Amino acid sequence: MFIFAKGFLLKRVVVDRNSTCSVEFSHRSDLHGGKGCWMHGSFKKAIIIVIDALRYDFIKYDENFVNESLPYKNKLLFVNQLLLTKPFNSKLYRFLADPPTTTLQRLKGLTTGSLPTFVDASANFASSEITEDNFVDQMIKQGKTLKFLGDDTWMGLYPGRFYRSFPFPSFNVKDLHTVDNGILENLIPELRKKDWDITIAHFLGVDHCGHRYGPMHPAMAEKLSQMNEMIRNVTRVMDGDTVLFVFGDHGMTGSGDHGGDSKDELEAGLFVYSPSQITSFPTKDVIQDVQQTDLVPSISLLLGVPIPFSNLGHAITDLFTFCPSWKSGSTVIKQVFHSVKALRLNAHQISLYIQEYYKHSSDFPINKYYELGHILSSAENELQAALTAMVKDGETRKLEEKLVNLRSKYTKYITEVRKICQSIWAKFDLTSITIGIMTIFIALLINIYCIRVSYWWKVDVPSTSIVVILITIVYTAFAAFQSFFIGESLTAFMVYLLGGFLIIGLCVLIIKFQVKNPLIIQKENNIFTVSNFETSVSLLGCILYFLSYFSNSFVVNEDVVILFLAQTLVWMYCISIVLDSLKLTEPAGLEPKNKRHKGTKTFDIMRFFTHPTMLVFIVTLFTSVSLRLSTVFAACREEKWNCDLSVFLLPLGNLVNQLQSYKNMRYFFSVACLVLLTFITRQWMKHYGNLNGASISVLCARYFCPIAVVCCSLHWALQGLPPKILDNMPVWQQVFLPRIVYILVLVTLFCIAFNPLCVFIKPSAELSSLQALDRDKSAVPYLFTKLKEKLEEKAKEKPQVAYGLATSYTAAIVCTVTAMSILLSMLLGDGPSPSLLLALFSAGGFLEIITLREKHSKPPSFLCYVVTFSMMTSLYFYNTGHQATVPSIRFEAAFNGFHGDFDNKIIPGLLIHLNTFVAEVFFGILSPLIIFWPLTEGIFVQWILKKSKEQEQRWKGDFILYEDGDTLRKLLFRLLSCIFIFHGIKIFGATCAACLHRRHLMVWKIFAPRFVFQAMSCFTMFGISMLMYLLIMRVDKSLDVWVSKVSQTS
Amino acid sequence: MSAPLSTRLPNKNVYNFTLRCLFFQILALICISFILLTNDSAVNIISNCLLACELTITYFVTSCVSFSVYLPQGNTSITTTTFVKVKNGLKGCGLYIISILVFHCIAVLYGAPFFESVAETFHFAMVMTSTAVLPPLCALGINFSSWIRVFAQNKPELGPESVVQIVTILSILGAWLGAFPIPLDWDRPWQIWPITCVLGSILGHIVGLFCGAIHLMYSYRKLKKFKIT
Repeated sequence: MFIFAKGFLLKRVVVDRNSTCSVEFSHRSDLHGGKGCWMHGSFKKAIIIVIDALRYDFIKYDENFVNESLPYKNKLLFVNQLLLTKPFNSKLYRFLADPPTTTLQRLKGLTTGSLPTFVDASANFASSEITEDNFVDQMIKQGKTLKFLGDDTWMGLYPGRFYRSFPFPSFNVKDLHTVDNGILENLIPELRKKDWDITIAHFLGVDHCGHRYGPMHPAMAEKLSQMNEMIRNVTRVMDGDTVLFVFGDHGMTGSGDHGGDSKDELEAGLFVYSPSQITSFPTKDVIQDVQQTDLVPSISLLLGVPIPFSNLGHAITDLFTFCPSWKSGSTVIKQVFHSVKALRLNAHQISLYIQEYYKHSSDFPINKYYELGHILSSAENELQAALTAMVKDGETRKLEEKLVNLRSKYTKYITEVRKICQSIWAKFDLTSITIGIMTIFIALLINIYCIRVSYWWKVDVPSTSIVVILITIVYTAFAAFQSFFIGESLTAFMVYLLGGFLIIGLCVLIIKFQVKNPLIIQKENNIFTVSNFETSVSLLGCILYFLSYFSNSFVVNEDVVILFLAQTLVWMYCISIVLDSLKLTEPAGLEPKNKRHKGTKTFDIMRFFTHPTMLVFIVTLFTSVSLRLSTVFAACREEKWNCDLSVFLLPLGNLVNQLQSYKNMRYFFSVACLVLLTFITRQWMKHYGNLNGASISVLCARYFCPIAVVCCSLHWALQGLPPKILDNMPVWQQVFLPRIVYILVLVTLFCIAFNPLCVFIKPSAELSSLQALDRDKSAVPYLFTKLKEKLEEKAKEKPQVAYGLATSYTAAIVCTVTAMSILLSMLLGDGPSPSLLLALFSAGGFLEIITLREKHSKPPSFLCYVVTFSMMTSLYFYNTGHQATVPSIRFEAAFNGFHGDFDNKIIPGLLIHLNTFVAEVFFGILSPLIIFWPLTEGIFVQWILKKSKEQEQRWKGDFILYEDGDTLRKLLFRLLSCIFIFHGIKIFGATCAACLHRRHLMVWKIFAPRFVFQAMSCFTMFGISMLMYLLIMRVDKSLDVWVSKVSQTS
Repeated sequence: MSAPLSTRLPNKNVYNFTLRCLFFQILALICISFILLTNDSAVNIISNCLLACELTITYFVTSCVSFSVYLPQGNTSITTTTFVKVKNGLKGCGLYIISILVFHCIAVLYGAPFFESVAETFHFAMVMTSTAVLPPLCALGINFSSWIRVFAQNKPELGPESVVQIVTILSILGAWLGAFPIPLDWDRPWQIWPITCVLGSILGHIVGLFCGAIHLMYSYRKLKKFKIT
């Protein structure tokens, strides 16, 4: 059975990886256009200053704005001053980025002029060299020297292209000043040296400030003023033949993040300036919108460099309305003609690109292609006509009109091409999508089949299942081979055939199993008989959840929807237990209502409260209240316009003065929650006597966890300090505390893995005194369990007492949870970490409900439990301050205990992953308790139902499972399969939705991120539950050793 | 939704009365929901939700109370003093108020906003109570054991009790289903929090009445046949 499970699980993981990679997106042909100088350059030199996350309203001067309350407003005063005093030398634009608004993608777009695809965004933070044609390469080809200062992403994109460079690490979001100060030190001296043609400077301070404090913080004002000063200094050293571009690569949201495509993130500012005249039209009140890709042709043409081959941008016409070589003053016609020339070059470059692209791939619509070609050629003819007219008649009014007309024609051509490219680059590989979906479906079916098989009480594996598994392995290998190595070919058909065959076969097998297989002994345990009320409701919840993936609004509001479903399920348990208990307590069914004597119905308040029904009700209320309370910590999606960010999610150091008192309160509240969390688990272990003795893991649980808590809260306190003080502190002080936490938690985990038994044997001599002690206290006694009766018979003369034997499995899990939850809450930060306590509460409450349910001697049905449990998991994914969108990933988690740049991306990646999937990890660790908790009989139940004390003597807890190792494995396997089924259904839903809606307007915003997050969360869940399985097996093994040791000594 | 057949045949009087009541209620409720849904009426549920809720509640309270007063007691009728009647009535009111609070809490737990639109949530709780709790309260009285018998043991007597069981379950189900259209992005004016749930609850009630009537007639015929043969 064990090997079987292992093989099965391994395969399952492979299957999912296959499907994750199945969506293949775009082709791009990159051919380099090696053309000569297209246009005489107006300028010889350029300074390009990228200010990361310079939102449009940071740069735009707002006259109506007098109030000082917004720190980011009106800080770039010098820009405004230039615009007013030298209107012909400077221009301001609203600079629209294409989503995704991450710096790397923006840089690619800014230098190549092409459009991004979603794959770029997900394959994010590793920068690799750009091989596509771009203006940096073009300039080098024209023999210009480039200098670079700032963000080292550029160095990754353009290694070895720069004559001199001063790269600075970019990943450390907490560090506001290193990059900027480094640039500032070198920028002016380098500009003075005159050995450059192009200088690129990339400032990161504004972006980091936004990530860390948000745009509303005073630090932002400081940073922007610094930028203002920098621009002033740069303009002082500029020559007449130099042009300056200042722009942001993207904006930022209200919380200072970016990555999505809301208006605030897309709108950046672009400012162009030169000491000599660049335009004939001064910037008016209405600011023009400019696409980000438009920068590439503009810069290229202004500097007299060919436009990069794959550019899709549209040269900014305003910048081509003045030419320094005009001797005889400028007229309107000249201006228009000049810009038409620029546009014509641009259009020709694009048409070349399309021609090339058309040859390589068939997805460009043919009729569109010809239509566009027609537009271009007609424009060309008109231009010829206009030229001859110009030569003949001189400059007339009519000609001007014609030229303006022409200009709009070219503009139309370019924008049309851009639009088409945008639509066709969202191209999908349908074959691999279908194969992926089919594979997931098959995996699901196999899971169901396995559960079915596991109800077989025979030990040997049936031959049909072996056949099925063999075929599946072959299929999987085949499918993987097909989707990764071969492109589109005929073999896809074979995969379909095999897959279809498998699906049909599995369905037949499952149905056959259900109907008339005499080998299924435990018929009543069969979870797929829908007659059961709970099962049907759970399945309904499952199906609803599955369906909710297909509607964008349900995905957007998923946190609320899941809350609704989870509450429904929890209350469903409550109702069913209440009904059952009422059925049991008053079996007299049909006696007439009036016969009941009134005297017996005295209202006894104590009886009322200790009644099991009330108990269930209280536990359920407790669970659902903690579920509801946790929604306070949920984050907002940008689609939900009427949602304001919870105060718990702001970083503590970010809260400004008016919230000072609140700051302290929140800090102490979080610390109290964390302490309570550890305290509760500690009390629990004490209660069951798992904290006695001196084995390593006990010591760890006893002392390390509180120390870790203290360190963690001190770390939070440090983070709460004002940023100024924090920045002045040496690095080791910031890093010290969290690192201690990491070490302690890791040591504890290792100890648990090494010696997972929290069991302690008392010699028999002390037994009597202990018992006396217990009787004196007569409070909740230490539950000491006698050893297995068999053992006891052997050692009758010398009975031993083992503490905590009854909870040997559970204790290991609880220990792990405690250690992990400290780590997780530190990663979460002080804001959302109280939600972990709530998670513990609701999980505990739910486990109690299960316990109560099984008290009524109902057979456990894992599918129902798992559905509810996983609903809670998804709920707490949202309620720990996450959303299934790219900008809501909390990157600051990577800087807990690490400061500065990372050499490799593994550690920060792991930390961010842990932060994002806190709920999955937490509930994954807790999930085996579904088996063990009812056996140990939860605290609450015991506390209330104290009467049955004599039963405690025979109470064995989850030790009972040790005696029956086979059952344990079977139960565990069934549980794991159920977890996998539910998560499989989820990912199946997400995949199908992503596939079905691949042409949907919102696909990149809603469905695709949902799918990616779902896949990640599934992997996390699978990994964690596998680890838990191994841990329990380890506990089992060590129990084995322990028992044999005990029996030897006695 | 099928209540198991009880072997007892209801009184002919009770049967006729219940059936008549059912059809009257169905008609009246359809009228009311028509009023609630027409655009230009004063109590249009979209523009004037609270008032609409109050109208429905008033209707339910008056109808249920009057029916319960006139409900023939059948064969097990016993004479009670007016004092006991008043006492029971007061107890019923207490239960009614408690159940309103409970429904309010449950709505909040299920995701209704806690601080905003408290009035709406409260009105929704009142409607829920009127549709789901008031009918059994009137039909079963405040006797706890009969509640257990009907709802926990699923053994209602044929007649008002079985109808009431179906009606209660369907009302709650309707309100539960009513929550689903709220998050959809159709941008309709009725997609605000309590409206769909209130409507769902009322609709569930109507469907429940209808099902109850059919169930009652069907089982009555069957039982009668059984008795005769």
